[in-house]
Amino acid sequence: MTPDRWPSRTLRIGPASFHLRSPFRRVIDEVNALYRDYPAETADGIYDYAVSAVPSSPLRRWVNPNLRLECDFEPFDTLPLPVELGMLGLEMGMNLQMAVGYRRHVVVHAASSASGDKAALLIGDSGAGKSTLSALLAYREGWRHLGDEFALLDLDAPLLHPFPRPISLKNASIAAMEARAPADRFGPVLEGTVKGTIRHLLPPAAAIDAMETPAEIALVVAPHFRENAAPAWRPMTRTETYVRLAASSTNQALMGEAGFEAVWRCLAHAPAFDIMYGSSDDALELFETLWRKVTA
Amino acid sequence: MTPAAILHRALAEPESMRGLSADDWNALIRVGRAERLLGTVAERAVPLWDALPAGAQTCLTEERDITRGDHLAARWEIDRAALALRNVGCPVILMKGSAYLHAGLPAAQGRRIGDLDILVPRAALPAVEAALLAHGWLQAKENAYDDHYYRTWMHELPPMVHKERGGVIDVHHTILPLTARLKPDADALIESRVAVADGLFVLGPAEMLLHSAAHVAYDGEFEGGTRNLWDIHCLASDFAQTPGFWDRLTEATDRHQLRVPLSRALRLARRLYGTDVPETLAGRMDLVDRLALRKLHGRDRFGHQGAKLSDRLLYMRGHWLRMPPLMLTEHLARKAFRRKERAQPV
Amino acid sequence: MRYRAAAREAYVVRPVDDLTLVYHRPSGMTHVVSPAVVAILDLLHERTLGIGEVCEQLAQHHDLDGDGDDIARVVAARLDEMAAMDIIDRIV
Repeated sequence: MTPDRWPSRTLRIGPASFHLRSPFRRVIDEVNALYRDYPAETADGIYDYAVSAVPSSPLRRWVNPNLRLECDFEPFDTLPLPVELGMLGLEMGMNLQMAVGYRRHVVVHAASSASGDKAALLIGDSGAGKSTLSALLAYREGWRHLGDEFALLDLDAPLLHPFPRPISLKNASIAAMEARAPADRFGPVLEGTVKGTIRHLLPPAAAIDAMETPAEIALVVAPHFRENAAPAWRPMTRTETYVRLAASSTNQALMGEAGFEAVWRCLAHAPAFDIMYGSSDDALELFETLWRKVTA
Repeated sequence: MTPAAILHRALAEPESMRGLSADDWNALIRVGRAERLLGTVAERAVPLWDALPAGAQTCLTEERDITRGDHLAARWEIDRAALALRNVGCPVILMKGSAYLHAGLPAAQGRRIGDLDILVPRAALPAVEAALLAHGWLQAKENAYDDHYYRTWMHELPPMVHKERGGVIDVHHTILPLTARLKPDADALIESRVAVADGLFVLGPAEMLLHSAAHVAYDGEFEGGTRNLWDIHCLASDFAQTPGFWDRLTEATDRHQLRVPLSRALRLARRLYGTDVPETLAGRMDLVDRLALRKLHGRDRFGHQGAKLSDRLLYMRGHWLRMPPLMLTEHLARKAFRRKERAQPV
Repeated sequence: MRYRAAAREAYVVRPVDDLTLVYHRPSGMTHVVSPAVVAILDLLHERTLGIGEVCEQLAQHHDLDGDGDDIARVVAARLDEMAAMDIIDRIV
């Protein structure tokens, strides 16, 4: 077989491994910088998913360079990305492989965080607040970051498996975290994306090192940030929790009875609450109060 | 060995997987996924499972889970279609993957299944369509041109999609487009049917093989050819165990005027997978075979098919075979225009 | 119009608060259903019943509010929903 001549990087995130490649060296350089703490190999050299950022046409390799993705599980038609956002493109590709191809656990679009050997699952729509709360917890004493984008539910036990990729901060939450995390844990500022400005925040090295250690699910929270809101919370019924979990899972409906039982186990094992707050400090205080209540 | 050849050999000689390096496995996984055959590789690997590296076991197990999901969904779609069409009064003949699955054929093992394909008599089409509409299926095609094109020239109705489940059903009334130069005998196809469970049917063995062969060669682009040829390998190997099968097949081939595509499909299956084929049916390798083989070996170690001149020639040939020149130009122009419109911002 | 459900083993029925989760094995789908639906489903496993028979048998095992017509209306509506969800089949 002809060897691959493109710059590339293998990396492991939680249970999954990816092989990223692109003829644009700067894209792989940026990946290497951001993912420097992540394992660069698999035990036997076999990786799960390949994601390539390729020129959108031969001309675009050199003139006004832009790229599109080629991956094991293909994206639908998308417009090309400029090479400056190539690393984001590769991240999108990895997300897509997890959302479409992964079957080892039930995949939920959710954030999660562990304290000791127990974990909280943060669910909700994009932009409601779960990413920011999970970033706050990532750098909070006593908490281990498990993931901001995907939470992985075990198929046999009420466990969450970490997927601690670089946290994707957007717009206002960037400044909020710049005040709370060391400067050297941040990636470059990426402007002009469809979601606005994005900046990655690496979880603490300890969280990355512990990427293979699951935690027992003890609490489900649906966080909502609203400017100036007074802190408030209410219990969620199991029905409501089920509907939210099912709606935010990319693969539960495809995994038959095993998928059903995994979500059921989560419902049966962990109480659920909807919380609202108007500031980061209120969010943390409310969240930790609930945590102490349920884990007492 | 080309990446594609690693796949062909893994399927035809599973024991060969013992000797694969990590590099080979990475290529096999990519090409396998691209050709929708990794699930089949996983099934073929079961007897030597313990000898496989952990990384391979992980990917293959995942693929088996994906396939299991396909089969569950496919069985349910068959169940629902049977219920909807129970009172229409015509035979409902399953085709392709759903047929292999429902009939319990070896070809179904590890096979990814998407749409449900059925064959019904042309006269029954309005009743079949009405019954499906009454049970929650909708027309899927986007515009009047496609709809008209389908109904006038194709061998099937426009695809119908179920409004709750999203499952797609393709209702055929013969096995090749009406615009194709070869004209199989639809009545004889329907007559060949064999009863299976739940009041449904599948094509007779010879006809089932002919259907698969007609599409390998006739879709001209040999798109999905690697998998299509594996189907043919499985079907031929299985059916050949019945005495008289090859004679029956020859008879049916001539009735349906499918000698050229059948021979080509058998030659290519033999080339890729070592299928045992009688010389009388195989014929001789020709230029189209060579172009097809180039395409079938065309994927790189990441599963990507580069666009080569030989592929373009095949593409042109495919359309030529399916429709007259004037229609072809107009059709391609519309398709090109629509592709650009569909792209979305990231 | 008559209705029929698959064998009991085809369903996994799990009450959560006041509603119930039903996982339907043949389709791989999960549904969130009311107690009325659970009660009706229970009667139909591998039995084909008309609306009248369902009402009768429900009345035998449950306390039902309302007169015969009201009950029949409610039961008919539930049966329709269940058939639309493919949890049970309509048999013509």
